[in-house]
Amino acid sequence: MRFRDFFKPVLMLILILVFLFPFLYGLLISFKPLSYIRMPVLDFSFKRVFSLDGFTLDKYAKVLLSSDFPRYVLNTSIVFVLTSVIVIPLSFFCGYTLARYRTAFHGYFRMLLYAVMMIPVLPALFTLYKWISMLGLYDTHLGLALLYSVGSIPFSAFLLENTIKAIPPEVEQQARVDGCGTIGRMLRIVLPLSAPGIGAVAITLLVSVWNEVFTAIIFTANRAKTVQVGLADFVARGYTDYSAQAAALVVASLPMIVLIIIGYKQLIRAMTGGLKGH
Amino acid sequence: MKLGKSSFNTPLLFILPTLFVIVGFWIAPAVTSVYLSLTDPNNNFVGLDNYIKALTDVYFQRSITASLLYMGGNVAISVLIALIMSFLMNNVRGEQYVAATWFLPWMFSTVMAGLMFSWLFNPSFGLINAILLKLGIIDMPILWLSSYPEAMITIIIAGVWGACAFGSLVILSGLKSIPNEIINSAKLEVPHFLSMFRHIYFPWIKGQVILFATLQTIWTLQEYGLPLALTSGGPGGRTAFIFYYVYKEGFLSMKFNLAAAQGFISVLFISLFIIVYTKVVKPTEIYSR
Repeated sequence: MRFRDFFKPVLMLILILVFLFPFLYGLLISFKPLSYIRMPVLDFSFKRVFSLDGFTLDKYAKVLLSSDFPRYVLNTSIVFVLTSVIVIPLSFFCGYTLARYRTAFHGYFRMLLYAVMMIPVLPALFTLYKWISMLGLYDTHLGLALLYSVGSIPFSAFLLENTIKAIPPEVEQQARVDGCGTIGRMLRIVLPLSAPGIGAVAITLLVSVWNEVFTAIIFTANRAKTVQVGLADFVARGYTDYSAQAAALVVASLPMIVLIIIGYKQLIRAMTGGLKGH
Repeated sequence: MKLGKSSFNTPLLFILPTLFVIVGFWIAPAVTSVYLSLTDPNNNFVGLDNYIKALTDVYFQRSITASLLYMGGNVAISVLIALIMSFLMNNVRGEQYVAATWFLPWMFSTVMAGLMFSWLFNPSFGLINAILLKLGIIDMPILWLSSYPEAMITIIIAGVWGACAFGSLVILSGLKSIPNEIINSAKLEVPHFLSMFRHIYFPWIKGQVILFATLQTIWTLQEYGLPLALTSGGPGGRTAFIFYYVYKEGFLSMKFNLAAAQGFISVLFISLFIIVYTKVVKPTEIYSR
């Protein structure tokens, strides 16, 4: 028993360190001049890498001041805001309907949302590419936000359905007696009470928009290019300045790290928000 | 519970904008893509030619094999590590901080994971080769990213890296649902961990393990960022997973009609696993990625 008490945390720490290592290594090399890390493996100097020799902020200056990367961060943020503006109201209405009404189309609608959530959109993208270009939405924030919205609405709707179901109907009933209409009840009573659910939706949207690359690489070229596409460009263009890549990656990881630090609990609740019974 | 009096029109009005978006950006383009997949670039109807061409294309077959191998390797290793970690994390002091730290890799996109592993596994400058050489395990640098099966191994490692955290949290939620009395009384009678695992823990976490494994199966079959950032599909298309290959055929080679057919084949393929998912997991249990 005593052996296990000691063994468990040690093994756990080792696993965590192994898993954090790739990121910590990236963090380390982002502060190094290229000559300190890009050494042929046959005469690799571990001392040069794993020390603070040559510490510099040059690469961050390069990424933040003289590259397009800040613009990609801005683009992604704009797309996130637009996606939220579309998804949150629509999924709130859907969630309300699913939670509060029993109608003929209920089952079909739920099935449709479920299908949209699970079935990959891949073949539709070829047609969407033509349509989006025709509408003049190619390489725009709005175009990307619309495409993201379709995929995000179902999960958000289910999440808000659960949130709204947890609000006692009596609260609404009371307001109804007091003469408050459906829309009024929804906006004045249900909406404020589902704030945590809406926050959770915003969090999942941030994580998914920030990390999405498949749609973004197809539907953006320059004007609306996102962070992840910018990172993928390093590889596509055979760019070999590891330190600058690492600095860009650290910048790109900051929102996610902040999210973990300030709101881990909410984050987990958001990610598993559609799950019942926990 | 029913609140609305006009029970048909109001709710329909609420979901109408969503239906509009789904029809416009999901159903209509998918249907049009079916047409696309049945025609040639000059709009002539060619029947199933594109599908036949797709299925007889060696590189497309290779991409399906690659995706399946990646799926198998990734799911098996992820589930194993997730299981181990969930047991290690359970009831550790400061569990929440441990879990938050452990969760970090899951928050990164696969492009970011691919970049990080490309620095480590670069054959001529990467740390992994340097360490292996220093320790004398190899005497020539291994071509991690451009030889086979090394490239597949590297890509599986990078994929597993990002996947485990989520799995262990799912399984941990199952472990937490076991009543303490069961564990305490079982510990007195079944001293051996393995038999304890088989008879006490596993029945309680089986659902969570299956949930994670099926989700991970569906997600890995759609993997795209890792070949993009790590191997560019090489060597010889052996790590060009389905989505990456179809993307290249469609948007880089501009073969929209063929790629649409390939896209539908891969969706049908993935749908088989989605059906399994809906059979084993209640459709109300939903996770986002």
